[in-house]
Parts: sequence; structure tokens; C-alpha cells
Amino acid sequence: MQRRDFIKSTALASATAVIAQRLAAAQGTTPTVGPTLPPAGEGITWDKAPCRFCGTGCHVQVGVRDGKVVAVQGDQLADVNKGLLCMKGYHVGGILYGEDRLTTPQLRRNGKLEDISWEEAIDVIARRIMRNPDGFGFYGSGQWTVPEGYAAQMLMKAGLGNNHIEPNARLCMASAVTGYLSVYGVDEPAGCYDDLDAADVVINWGNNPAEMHPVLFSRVIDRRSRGEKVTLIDLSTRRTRSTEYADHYLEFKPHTDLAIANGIAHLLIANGTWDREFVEKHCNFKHDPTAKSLHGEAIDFETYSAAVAPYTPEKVEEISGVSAADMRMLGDLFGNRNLRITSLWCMGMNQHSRGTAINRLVHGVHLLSGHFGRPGDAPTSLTGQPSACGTAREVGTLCHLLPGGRLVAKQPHRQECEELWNLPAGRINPKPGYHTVLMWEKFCTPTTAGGDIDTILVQVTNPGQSLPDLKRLFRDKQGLEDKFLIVSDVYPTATTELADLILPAALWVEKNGVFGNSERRTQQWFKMVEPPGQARPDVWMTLAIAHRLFELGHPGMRDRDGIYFMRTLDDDGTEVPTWDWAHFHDINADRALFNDYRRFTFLKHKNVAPYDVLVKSRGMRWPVIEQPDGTFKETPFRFMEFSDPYVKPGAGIQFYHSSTGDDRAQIWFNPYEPAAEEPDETYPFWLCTGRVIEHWHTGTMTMRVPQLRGSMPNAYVEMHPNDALKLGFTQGEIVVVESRRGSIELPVWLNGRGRPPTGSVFVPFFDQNLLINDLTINDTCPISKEPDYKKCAVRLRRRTVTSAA
Amino acid sequence: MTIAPPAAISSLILTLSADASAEAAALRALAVYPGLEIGDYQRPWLPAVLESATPKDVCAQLQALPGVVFIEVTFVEVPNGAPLPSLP
Repeated sequence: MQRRDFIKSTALASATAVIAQRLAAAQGTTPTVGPTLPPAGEGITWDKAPCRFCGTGCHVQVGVRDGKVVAVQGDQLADVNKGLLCMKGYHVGGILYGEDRLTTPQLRRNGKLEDISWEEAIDVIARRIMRNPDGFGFYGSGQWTVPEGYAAQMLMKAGLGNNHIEPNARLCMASAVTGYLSVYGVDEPAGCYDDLDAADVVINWGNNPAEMHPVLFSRVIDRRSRGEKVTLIDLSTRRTRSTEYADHYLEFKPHTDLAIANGIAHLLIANGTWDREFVEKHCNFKHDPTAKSLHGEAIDFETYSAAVAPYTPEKVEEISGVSAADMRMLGDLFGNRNLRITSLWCMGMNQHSRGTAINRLVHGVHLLSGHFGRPGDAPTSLTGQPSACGTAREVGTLCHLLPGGRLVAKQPHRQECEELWNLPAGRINPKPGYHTVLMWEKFCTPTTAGGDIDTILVQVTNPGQSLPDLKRLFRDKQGLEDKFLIVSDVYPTATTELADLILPAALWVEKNGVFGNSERRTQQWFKMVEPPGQARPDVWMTLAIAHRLFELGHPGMRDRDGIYFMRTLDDDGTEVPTWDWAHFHDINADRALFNDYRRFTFLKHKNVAPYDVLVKSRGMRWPVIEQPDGTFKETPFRFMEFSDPYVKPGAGIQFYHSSTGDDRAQIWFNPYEPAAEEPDETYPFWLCTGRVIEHWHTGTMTMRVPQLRGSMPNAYVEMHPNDALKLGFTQGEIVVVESRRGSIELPVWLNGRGRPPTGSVFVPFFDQNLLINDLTINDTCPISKEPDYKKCAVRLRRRTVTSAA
Repeated sequence: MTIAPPAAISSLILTLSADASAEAAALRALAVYPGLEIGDYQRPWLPAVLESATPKDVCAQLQALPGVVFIEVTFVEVPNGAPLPSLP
């Protein structure tokens, strides 16, 4: 058989096997073709890995031949994607092979980048830290693997006693975190993707899963194809691909989702369809008069009921634009306990200056109506990055967290962590560090004016494109001679443009890794190919920096016994010098770090599986509990007795981390309030930013894939034809979009895949040459500190000769 | 810059319409679609192998065919062609 024939037959077999599985599921029979691994042949070897892109956590089989990734197949053994891939996963193998991969450390001297050795690079970093340890910030992301994030966390909080560490996840799901914490007392969803197989109604709250989480979306469409009735409701500020499949499209004015959620709560009470038994048994009521408190104040049901009473269908229609009839339809759906309702959301609710509040309210609607605690009845926030949950939230790389859901501000929590790390008492700094926006603001402010962060190390993210209000929070670094930016990445980016030191990084299957996806699933993979040139894993960089600091005499690099505290031990307890590149691969450093981290996960019932168990699985959802026979069992549904072993027998549902200490969840009232910046006479349009199906976030990887870049080569401004007509714009015309913070020129796209209403425009943020975040606002949710990328005011005008020049 | 990526093999699952005439029209069109080889139809799912330099664009065209409801992907070859030059 010729090579291409072999690949074609492998490809067709994969699709046929997935269909066989589906047919068997629909008919309740055994599939004629079982889930299979791709056949070895033509010199191709296959191994599993989670996809590198979004938080869905699809598993792929990666085909390698002659040291190169040559094929990718959806993993049929993976529960998440059951053999499917999306358009980006389709091309994930190609991200490794852009021509301009960074391959050598480079130091900027006299304005020019010069190649240097890794030894010098690590020494430069360590000496920058030594000269001002408190002025050092570490900025990573939800693309950090769990071991990478854990190593960074150890270096900063356990070693330097410095809490200025943040993941870019602050920019994408911090409001989901504060939502879960303030409602359930513990982060991350109770439900899982299995809810999508059981729900009668799926409500998208301001998200577009058809493009952003297509494999999850296809799970619902697949059920419909099998003849099942699944009602899709698209609550959105513009029409998207998801709208095309929706039974109901409810368009709301930006920022008014709080009024809609309160309106549903009002209807449940007014109609007497709230679940009194569930609420009386499992819930308390709270409000937040300061609008800044994570835990707020207790109120009674009567106070809550009075607070939501003004949100009548007619009033909500006036505020949001969603008709009173549609509000009643939503109220009736939630009031029907015979249905199972899953709410999904992503950046629309999280990148919101009332992000915590809207997260609370959607959880509250589910709790008040009793649509909680059965498969298919769940409020779930989807993440945008592959390990936003695993690394940012669980490892706790946010500036106020410690691993295992511990807080730096709580003395008993610090003590627990100091003991697990064998640190001297008092090593961990009790003061939370700077959150993302503040960290970059301090970095871009002259030291003499209070800018007390002078060095930032960036790993696996691109803040020069993804931060809001980019001039203020990033480019103002230019000209500040005492500031020093270190960037580890795989390609040149908007961030490396201002870097003083660039570190070439290994990417995806060029290194070992562990991710944690949106449904609490921890996923492991092994290195399969060599990184190019001198590119190295980020985890090695952090281990090497820590050891160089130890050599330079930083006292924080010693534990309470005076021994180097970030040492890597093998199974026999022998130290392996993984900080030394020549010995990094003598041991699986990921395994050692992950198993060390695992001890922390028991502190808040987030038990992850041992590394060696994950090796054999397609990921496991925590808490993962060891069984009497030595096997490990995952927990699909949390707080529910039928699934969660931590629930007391007989309790049915138990919120065992309740912030009120009574095993109850909190139902919140938060009022609707106008956005921080709304359109006015001068800036009459709403601007919403977001993603496109072809590109992943800032496009640094997907813009190197010819097919994806060819399909979507540049950003655009999507607008309503009537607005274009009024302004005299034509399809494709380059126009100026400007806010109070900046302006850019973009081609107009009318009647495209997204269709905003009049008065709104949408611009994607993937394009490095057209930085829409020059225009966005740096206003954040007062509790989560997550910026609002979805709402600010802009104006549009024709390009003048001057601006075109 | 002109981007001319090499042809790649991928496999698709096309979900076809429950409407019999639309389904039949889709099957007829797909059977002769350039670059597409179809497998055994198991209502409503049709497995297919696509060989194309622009699979995303072809998928968009397939999606637009009457009777094609949804397209999913299960396999993709990473082409061995020249990598894309650096960003301008």
C-alpha cells in the first residue's frame, strides 16, 4: 500500500469508528467497530496528548515519523471528544513548524538582540532577581503545564517570599473563580461535560461554543441528529455561528445580563415555581452592598425576594431588550423541574466589570429553581486555555493563592504549605501580590513614581497583545531604562518586541506535560519530538533560575534544614540535578514535581490522581479517590452523593466547603448597574472583542499554520449594514475605529459569520498587526480583578488621506 | 503574500439532513465532490476523506451544501511542505 493510501485508509477508519460508536450509543447496542488507536505503519508511532489549544481538553493521538509530527487523530478512547477534533485541533500539529521558531537565547545590548548562551541567560535573570527580589514579577498563563506552574509557584511564594506571580488566566476566568468561591466556597464546577449528554435545555450565556468550544457544541448537535430533543437558547449581544443552531436567540444589550438573571429569579418567585424544598435544605441568601466583597452579607428570603421584585419582565425588557414574552419563556423553563437545564458561559460573563456578580446570579438561578444536582442540571463556566483550571486555579498561580485552594492571607494556610514544603515558619508572604493589571501598571510606571516592579519574567503568554489598554499597561515600558522584560516563547510576538531577554521555549509535545481542563480533568502526556535549536522546556528554565539563585546565596532557596529546597528527588530519594540541562532528562522532572504538588490537592478535596495513573488514562476528574483494591476512581459530579464520595451518606447534596460552614450554597442578589463606559454622543458604538474559530487567542501559534492563516489572515470590524450605510462604509473598506485610549484601522465586514446589532461592533484580537487592545478599557471587576474586554465605547470614521499615509 | 499550503488528508463526519430529499441531494453532491472520498453512509452520518490544500475552506463549502447539517473532523495529516514564513 502506498503511503498516501495508508493515511487515507487510516483517516476513513477513524471517522467510521466514531460513527459506529454513535450508532451503538443511539441503539443501546455494542458497536460493530470499537474505539481504536490508529494503526502503526509507514514508520509512524502514535501516542496520546491533550490538544494544545482551548480548555475543552480534547485528547489527540499524535503520529510521529522521523522525529516529526506528521498526523493527528481525534482520540477515540477519550471521553471528552470521542474521536473528534475541531478546526484548530485539526491543525495542532502544524504549530510546531513555523519557520521563525525561536531557537537561541537573546539579550538586548545597546538596543540590539544578541545571541547568548543559556548559562549566561539564566545568570542574567538570577542577578536581576538578586538585586531587587521584591521587584520581580512572574507572569505565566493557563498554558503553563501543571509542573511548570508548580515550579514557578515554588520559586516565588516558597522561595522568594514574593507573591507577585500571576497567570494570564486573570484575564479570562478570574470572575468564574470568584463566582464559584462566593457561591459554593470552593472553586471549579460541580458538573462536567456529561451534563451535555443529559440536558433537555442548553443555555449559552453570552458565549459562542459553535466556534470557541466546537467539540462540546457538536456533542449537543449530535444528540439532535439522533432524534433527541435538546432546546438551545442563545443569549447573546450579537448573532454568531451558535445562533444558527439555536431554537431561541435572545439578543440583549451589553452588560444587561444581570437584569436578565434577576428577572428569571423574580419570575420563579412570582410564579411560585422556585424549588422551596431544595432551597430550604441547601441554600442561604446573600447580598453585597459594597459591590466589592467576596462573601457579602446574609439576608433572608423575604429581603432577597423584595430585591429581585423590580425585575419584572417588562422592566427587564426595558433594560436589556429581551422581550417580556421571552423572559417569561425563560422563567417557565427554569420553573419546570421535569426539564434538565445546563447553563454554559465563557468570556462574555467573565470578562465583565460585574463578572463576579453575573457568575453568582446564574448559579443562583439554578439553585433557586433546583436545577442542580442531577446530570444535565448544571451551571458551568468553560475555560479558554488548556490548563486555566489545572495550573492557574488548582496550582494556585494567582497572586493571592497557594496550591490546593489555600490563601496567602490566611496564617493557617501559610503554615500548612510551609510544612509541606519544609520551609521555615514565616517564609510565605502574607500579603497578596499584584494582580495582572496592577503588576503591569507598576512595571510600566517609572520607579520614581511608584512603579515598584522592575523585572518581569513572562512564560507561555503574550501580554503585549492580550492585556487591555495596551499603551498604558505594556508599551509605556519603552524608555524606562531600569525596567527589564524577560520573555520565554516559541515565536517572536508583540511581547518579545519589547523584551530585554528572550528565551526559546519547547512547545506542546516537545516536552512532557500535564494540563487540567474545564471539567476538573487532569491530563498527562509525554515528550514525543525534539524542540528546535536550543529551545528548552519552561519548567527547566524555572528550575535553573532557582538553582542559580541558590548558588548566588539567596536565603530563600534553602528549606528549614538549610538544604536547597527545589531539589528533584528520584523514587529512592536521591537528588537528581535537573537544574543542569545535561541531567534534566535523567529523570522525569514532571513526574517528580506533579507528585510533590499532589500532596496539596488533598487540602481541599481536590485530590488528583498519581502521575503514573494519569499516564494510563485519558485524564481523570478530581477528586480522584483510591479504592480498597488500589485502583483510582474519578468524580464526574461534585457535591452529589451518587457521585462524590466526600458527601455524607444520606445527605443527597452537600456543599461541604460552604463559606457559611453549614453545607449550604449561597444565592446572591446583585443589582444591574450600567457598564463602566457606555456609548455616548462622542463614542456612539459598543465595542466587543473576542476570538474566531481559526485562531487561538493572540494567534502566535495558529497564524503559523498556512491553512488557518490563509483562511483568516487579518482582523476586521464586524458591524451592522445599516450602521455602515449611515457612515457611508462599504464592504472591505478600511475604516478607523477609535476609543478614548487609541485607534486602529480595520476592514469592514458586513453580514459575516457574526452579526452585531446596530450600535455595536465586534473586533477579534488575534492579529498582531492590528492590536484591538489598544482601544479596550482597563476597568476590572472589583472582586475578581478581571478586565472587561467586551464593553467599551468607540467611534468609527472613514480613513483620511493623512491617516492612510 | 500568496500562501500555497500543500494538500493534506483529513477525515470528516458529515451529518446530513433528516429531510429525505435534502439528504439525497447532499449524497449526490458529495459523491462527486472534488477531492472528497465518501465511505458507507450510516444515517445521518457520512464518513469521508478529504484531500485538499485548503480543507477549512472546503469544509465551509461543504457545510453550505443543501442537506449538510454539520461537519466534524476526526483525523488530519500534518503536511510536509515548507513552513510558513515569519509574520510580516
